[in-house]
Amino acid sequence: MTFTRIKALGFVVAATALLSACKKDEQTVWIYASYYKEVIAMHAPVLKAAFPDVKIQWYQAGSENVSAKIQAELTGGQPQADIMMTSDMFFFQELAEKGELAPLQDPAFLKLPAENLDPERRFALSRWPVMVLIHNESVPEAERPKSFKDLVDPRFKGKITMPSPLESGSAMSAALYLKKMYGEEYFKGLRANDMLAAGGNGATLSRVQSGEKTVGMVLIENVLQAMEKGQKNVRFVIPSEGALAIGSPIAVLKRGRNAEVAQKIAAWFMSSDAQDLLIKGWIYSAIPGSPTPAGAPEWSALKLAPWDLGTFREWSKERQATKDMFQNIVLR
Amino acid sequence: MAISEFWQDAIWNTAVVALGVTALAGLLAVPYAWLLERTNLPGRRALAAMLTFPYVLPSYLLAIAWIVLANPAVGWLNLLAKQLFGFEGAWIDIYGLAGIVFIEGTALFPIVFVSFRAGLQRLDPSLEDAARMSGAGPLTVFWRVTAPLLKNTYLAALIAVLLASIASFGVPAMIGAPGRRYVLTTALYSLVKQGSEDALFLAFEISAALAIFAVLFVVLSQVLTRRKAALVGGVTSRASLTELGAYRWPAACFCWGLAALLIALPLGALVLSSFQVTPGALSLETFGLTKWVYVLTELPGFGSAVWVSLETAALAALLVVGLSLAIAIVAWTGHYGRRRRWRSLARVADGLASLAYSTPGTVLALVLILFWTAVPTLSLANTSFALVVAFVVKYMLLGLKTVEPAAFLVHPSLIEAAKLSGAGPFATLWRIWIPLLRPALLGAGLLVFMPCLSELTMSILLHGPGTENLGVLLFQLQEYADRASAAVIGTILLLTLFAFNFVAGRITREP
Repeated sequence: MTFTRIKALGFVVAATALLSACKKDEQTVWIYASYYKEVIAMHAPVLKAAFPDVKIQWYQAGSENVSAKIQAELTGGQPQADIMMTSDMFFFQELAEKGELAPLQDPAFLKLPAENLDPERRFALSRWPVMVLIHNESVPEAERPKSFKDLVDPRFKGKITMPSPLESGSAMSAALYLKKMYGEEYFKGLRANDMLAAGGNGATLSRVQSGEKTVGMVLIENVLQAMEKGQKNVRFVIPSEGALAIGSPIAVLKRGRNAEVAQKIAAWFMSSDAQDLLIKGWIYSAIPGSPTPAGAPEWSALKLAPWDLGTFREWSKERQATKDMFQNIVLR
Repeated sequence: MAISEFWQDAIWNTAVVALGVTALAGLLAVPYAWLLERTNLPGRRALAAMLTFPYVLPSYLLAIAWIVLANPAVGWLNLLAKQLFGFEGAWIDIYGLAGIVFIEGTALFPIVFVSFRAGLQRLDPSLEDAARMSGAGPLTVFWRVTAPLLKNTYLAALIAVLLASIASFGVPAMIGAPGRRYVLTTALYSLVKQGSEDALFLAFEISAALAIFAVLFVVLSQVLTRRKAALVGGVTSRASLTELGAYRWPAACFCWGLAALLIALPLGALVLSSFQVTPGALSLETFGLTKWVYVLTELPGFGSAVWVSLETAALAALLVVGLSLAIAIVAWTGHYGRRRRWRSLARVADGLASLAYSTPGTVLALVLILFWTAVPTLSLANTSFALVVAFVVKYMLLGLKTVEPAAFLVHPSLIEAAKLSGAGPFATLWRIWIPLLRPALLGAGLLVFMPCLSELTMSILLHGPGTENLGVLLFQLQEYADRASAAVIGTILLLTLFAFNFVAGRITREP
């Protein structure tokens, strides 16, 4: 390489770096979401068409990683996030209490029943992922777990897996529900059975598919998607306690740079365009009367316990304690 | 929070891993270096190239590969053992401390191998010849003459391995976490991920304690390497080779076999697993191009990760090369010119760079995050410059170590001549320094570029929305969602680094 070519190369690199640093403009809205990458890929073009003048950027990670990121941004002063959508409603409760969430203004949110909307409209539950039991087809019929309680039975020792509550919001919420149902003893039982809690729901599914672990709990949409793709070696079971519905909110950050546009975009996620895409991603819509995802059981067949946001608000005080408990009992 | 017990475990595990890795790498390296440099072992050159290759690879690629090969339930080796010998249950279980030691040991072994082999090459062979002529056998020559002379080189390399294994993140995260084994770096990471302010500040405190260790080790290794210089004589002749005789072929089989097991087998498995479509079943029809097509055309974030990796690695390399050149010229001026103080100035820069290099990346990243949290106006959080700054701080030493020695070979008369001919400082820089140091500058650039391209340890903490690099994307896929795509990205990194390693080899061979 000649000397001038090195010089030229250097200038090109420096120039592109400078350009990429300067290209930030004011009309950029950041959506921090725990949506699956494929679901974001479905939403992005439709959303872009609905808001042609706004530059919409997505940040995708597990709910708990998104929460940690937003927490760090709030601590740092100016958050980059404008809209937050994850599966850890308890974190939304925490932020709402701290006054970090702007009230949702759009009438679109009024379509929601009371149990899906914060009374002060600081967040709305826009979708309901559902936690069920999963097993590999190789497990004989009689030996499959039928309830969450079954998982502490010694016959499942070394065979159980679930996503990590330190990464996945649905796992974090499930841990909190199960703690309320069965107390800390339940988690000691899971620990005694050497349960592997790691990664997100996708990782959990592939562990059961590969046979690395054979039973566990996972969000139903993962199983439905795998079955749709023709990978039929996994099956789900609605646990006898009832499935765990993981209310997944959307909220606008009060200190975000573009709160006004963010409000409109947040409302778009309530539109039938957006909700249809969710249903296509095998996720239950939060709007009453919406169709059931393909291949999924009816909402009533999920045997869900009734809920109200007031109870969840009380529970949200135990969010960090639940994570700590899980870390200290199951992850050690 | 029973956090203290958790940290006790983490410290204990870190110590076990660090000592185990150092012992393994140290034990493997000496016989290999000696056999390749001092005997007539067949295929020495090819074997040396193979053994040094893991040096440019991020060690997490080996971890991914060994998970494919030896996870307890469906690892390929375990399935094979079941099929061939009817083993029930796990034959090998890679998850756990032993697995971390094994993988890290393989990944870091080249550090000791390269430096011990270089030591052998530099050693004045007349010393060994003298011993041999006095009737000493090959082993006696090694133990009584060679080993004592290279002791400090060896110890310095072992300290480098010790530091690298304390700092490693990817392997313990992938191999340790499923078996609930945390080391300090992975424990710090899980603390940061908890997201609460308390946890974040606890992480800061613990990383401060870790940084103190780094200082101790830097001082120790400086002392060792300073004495090394006096021990190495000028190269006068080639060392005579020991004839292995009847042991020649058994030794060759062993060396090649072990190298194949430690390097070729896992890398082959990594490449092969990237073609596996459905996880689990190991039969011909489960292989195909589906995942490659998916990653290259559909996988969200892949294009952006490629760009971020290239951009940050190139910028970091450019900055390191520029800064190294500046510091080298300052040091040179202090040495040859009248400004004696400049020499000490450059020494301070050297010291800081080695301190940063020895500090675990996790700690460096946390220091940067702490700084940005305290001074939000200077914050680079969520920009790709966050990664660039971290890379430059971490890898500055690699630039300095390459450029400074080369600069000291420039004779003062050249610079004098330029001055007398009326050249200003810039003309001197463009016309004398850069052309003369070109191989060193290019070498330094590549030396920094390669680890940055696949960096994970710091990036996992410093990346923001849209600034995920390939290491972060791969880690997230591997741990969070989609191992098959992670294997594809791993294979892409493997091939890219192989190509760069080849280019780097050609450049540094240039006179």
